[in-house]
Amino acid sequence: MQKPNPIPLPPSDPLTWSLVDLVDLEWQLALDAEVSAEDLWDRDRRISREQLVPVLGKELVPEAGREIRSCGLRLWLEEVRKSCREESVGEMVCHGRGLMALILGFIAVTAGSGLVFGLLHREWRYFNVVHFLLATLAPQFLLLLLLLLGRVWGKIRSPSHRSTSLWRNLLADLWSKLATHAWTRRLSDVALRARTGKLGALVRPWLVWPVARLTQTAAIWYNLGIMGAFAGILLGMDVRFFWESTPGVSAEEGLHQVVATLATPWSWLAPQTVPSLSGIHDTRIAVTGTEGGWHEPEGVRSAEIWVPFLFTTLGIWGLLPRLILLAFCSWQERRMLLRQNFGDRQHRELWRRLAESGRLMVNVTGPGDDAIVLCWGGVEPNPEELRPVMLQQLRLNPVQWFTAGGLDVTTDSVAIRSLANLAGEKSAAPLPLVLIAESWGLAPRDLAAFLTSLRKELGVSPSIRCLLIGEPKAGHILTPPKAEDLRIWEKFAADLGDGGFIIRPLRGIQA
Amino acid sequence: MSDPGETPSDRSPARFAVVGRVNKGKSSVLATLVEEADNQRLRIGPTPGETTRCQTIPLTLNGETLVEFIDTPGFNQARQALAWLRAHHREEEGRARLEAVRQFVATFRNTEEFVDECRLLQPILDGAGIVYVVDASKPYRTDFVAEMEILRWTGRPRMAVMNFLSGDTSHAQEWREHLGEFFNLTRDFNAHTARFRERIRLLRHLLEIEDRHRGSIEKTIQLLESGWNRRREDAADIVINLLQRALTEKACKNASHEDTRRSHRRQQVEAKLQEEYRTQIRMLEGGQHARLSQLYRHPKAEMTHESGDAVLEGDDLFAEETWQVLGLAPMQLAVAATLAGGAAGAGVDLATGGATHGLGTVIGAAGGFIGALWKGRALAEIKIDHPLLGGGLNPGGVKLCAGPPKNPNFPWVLLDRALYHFEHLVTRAHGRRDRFVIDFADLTKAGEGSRQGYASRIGADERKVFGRWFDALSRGRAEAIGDREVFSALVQVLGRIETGELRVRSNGSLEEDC
Repeated sequence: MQKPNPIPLPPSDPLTWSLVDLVDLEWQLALDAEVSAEDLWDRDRRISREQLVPVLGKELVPEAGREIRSCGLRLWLEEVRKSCREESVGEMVCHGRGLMALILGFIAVTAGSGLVFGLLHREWRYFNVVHFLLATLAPQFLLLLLLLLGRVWGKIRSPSHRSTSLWRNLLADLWSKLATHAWTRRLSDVALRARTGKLGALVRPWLVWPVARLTQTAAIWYNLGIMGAFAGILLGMDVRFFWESTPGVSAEEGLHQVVATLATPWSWLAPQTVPSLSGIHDTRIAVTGTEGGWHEPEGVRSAEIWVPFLFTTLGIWGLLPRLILLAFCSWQERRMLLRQNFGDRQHRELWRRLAESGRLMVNVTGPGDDAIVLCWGGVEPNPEELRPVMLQQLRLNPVQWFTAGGLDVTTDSVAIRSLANLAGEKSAAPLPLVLIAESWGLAPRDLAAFLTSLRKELGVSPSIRCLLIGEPKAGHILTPPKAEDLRIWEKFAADLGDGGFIIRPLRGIQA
Repeated sequence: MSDPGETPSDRSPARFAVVGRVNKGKSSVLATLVEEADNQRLRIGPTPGETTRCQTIPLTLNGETLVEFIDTPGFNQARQALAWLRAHHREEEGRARLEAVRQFVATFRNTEEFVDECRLLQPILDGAGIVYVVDASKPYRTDFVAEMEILRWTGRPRMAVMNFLSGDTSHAQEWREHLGEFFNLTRDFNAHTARFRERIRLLRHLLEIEDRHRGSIEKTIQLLESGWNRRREDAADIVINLLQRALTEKACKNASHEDTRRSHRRQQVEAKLQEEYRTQIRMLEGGQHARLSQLYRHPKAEMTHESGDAVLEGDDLFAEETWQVLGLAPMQLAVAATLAGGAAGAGVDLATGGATHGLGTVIGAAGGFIGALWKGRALAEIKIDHPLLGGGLNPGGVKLCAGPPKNPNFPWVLLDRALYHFEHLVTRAHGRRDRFVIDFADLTKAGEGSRQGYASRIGADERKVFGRWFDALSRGRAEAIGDREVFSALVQVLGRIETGELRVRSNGSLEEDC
């Protein structure tokens, strides 16, 4: 019986991460920083419900391990990609890397073959084997050493210098100039984001191994260029090999020692490829003793001595280390992709949104007792005093205040217009209106005309409670109305014929 | 109208009417329970009768209501209402008392009498459980019996909550004895001081009186707890974001060669740039603190410098007083820097494959120690970079950058202030309606030169984790070590602040309960 997979992944989708995916993920997270929390919540909850829950089920929890998080985020990314019409930034980066690899490869092959042609003495058609070895191998190892030292130096170097270095500033200026061109705008946007650290800080560690892989690929092409050009020359020309040195015997022994050391990896397997001491002696250019005479090595014999050795040396010390480094970089890149634990701040925030079992929403909409106050006839009660009265007697909470019925008749139309505008703004039912009036000061025609105009603007729906107050006493404006005044107002209301106009006398309030 | 005796379907939400005498803290209890600090939505005030009608507050998950609380107007005429009930109830006729209550509401519903009583009894008649709130900081009086008796007549499951509005608990026992006669359960809950754990405890008590909706109440509690944990993690990320940006961002401007060649002009430019940097960091801190406030549903929390009050010296991030009482003590700072420097040096040793024989570690540790002692005295002095000074490659002038401060205590001070803000947020009950001002000067006022913050009191291991991360940030190598470790450490610290294990007293001094 087959053992069940702990994560029931769809077989068609292995849910592995590539560099394209990682860059896309970070890019999307950088974009999300500019989106409102509510929108992110809605989007990610939908994706969680529709995509993650069916696959991960009960494994989808905030404290989930690396594998589950990786799987969940991969599903999330796929879903987000569907809604994105633009070209994937990850693909742009990887296409850029591919293009860079092509350019670097061409440059490397050209440089390698050019170097070999440069080392060949055109007129006499010979190679100086010492120069050949030094020029083809030493710079590579020197560069490798410099890079290693640079890496160590970078570790201990102060960041302020790095972040504000001349190179960075110049590159930043270059990008901003490029950004003015429409065709580079999107690319430039990526670069700008990388500069500000939104994307770059997170993507940079991921690019270390891909970039290292790129450089090793270029170095392989460089070595292939060297070997190809060397082979081409040997096939097309009759070339001689020699070496020269002022001290005699000791130099021969020294070179033999170097040759033997270089040949250590393969000399036990193919000793015939290693030049012997006599061979080295024979291929040395030396003064013969006669005036102007030189001992020159024979072309065929010198080639037999040196060509197998040089080819094997180029292969073993030039190409092979690069192949090993390339394999190491590829392995590290794969390892990096496999071992992403998605635990950085942006990942954590996203995962919390995806894995949360649900968010409890508390919907407090307000008590719904808001009312608009309209003070009629020049009465101006203190809002702080009137509010408790309205709360306790009318069970309404005053939120806005208007005045009308004063000396200036234009204030009436202003109040009506303001109330109409307010009613127009409200999509829900209009707020109830409380008209505060003094019971002893009723001018029936004036108030009736005002109420008619008001109804014309507001319609019949808002109720108008008329809170009647009595005569002010000892500076206290909120007093109950007299019974006879109340009767007059009740008759007025009855004559008005407005069912929504309700008389509410103020009940006993003590000064 | 459904009968309260009926068993609602399993999927119906648990409903609780919060009732009590007018102005005794019903709305405060609810505001604290559901974290509603907005007075427009849930009105609380000294005026009796702020709650004019029943206000339903649903707690929903994906649109499904799990629990519903109903804020009700307070009892205004309980004695008269009880008298009416007694007058109209005939035991000998075998009618349930509930029927009398129903008749009472039906009789007065559309009249001017017993308006509040009708409104508050309606949801109970519709099947809601009863949460009866009293202000137990005031003495018990017999007139409360009327409202308790009316509630007993409804026959609904009921719990009494003793709120302590003025903080006096001397009457608690007396109240407890009398409430015990009328209610299935009596529990304390101070709406002005209750923290998260107390809110959860109160919700758990609801299970004891309303078992029919156990599922939805337990689900609510579980969601609240997971939400609270998520908030703690969100808060940790906000603090991490603040520290990360504060330690890496700079204020930069282009200056002419003329400005930088002449000493006095250069000093002016540098002073201006340093002030710009300070403003930038203050804004950054304010913004991140505001995010914390939003997260804990205290959007109106004010920091002293934005509340319009006179700014005290100790309130400012860059004030000397702040740096003297917050952050780490000199020796702690030196130890932290030594450990961080040693760790960075060990990285070099590793990079060289041990060829340096541990020299990197020794040099790093020594550098950290000396640097902390030396730069630690520089208080809030801000570093100025001259990356292109004298380079002559920029004909328009040179680019000057300011920040961050030279003192390695800077991130610790920022951390302390963020944690102080956090503590205020998690200890502030939403039922309070007084102005919520977070005054950093409180810390410095009480300090008198000694370290008052959290950083100097957290565990050595946590301090080591923070120290390493700060060091990596200041070296621009934060991405290499990541922030997972510091996140875990910060979540732990925040958890201890939440529980009160690590806290600042009201007089500003910090105490730690072990």
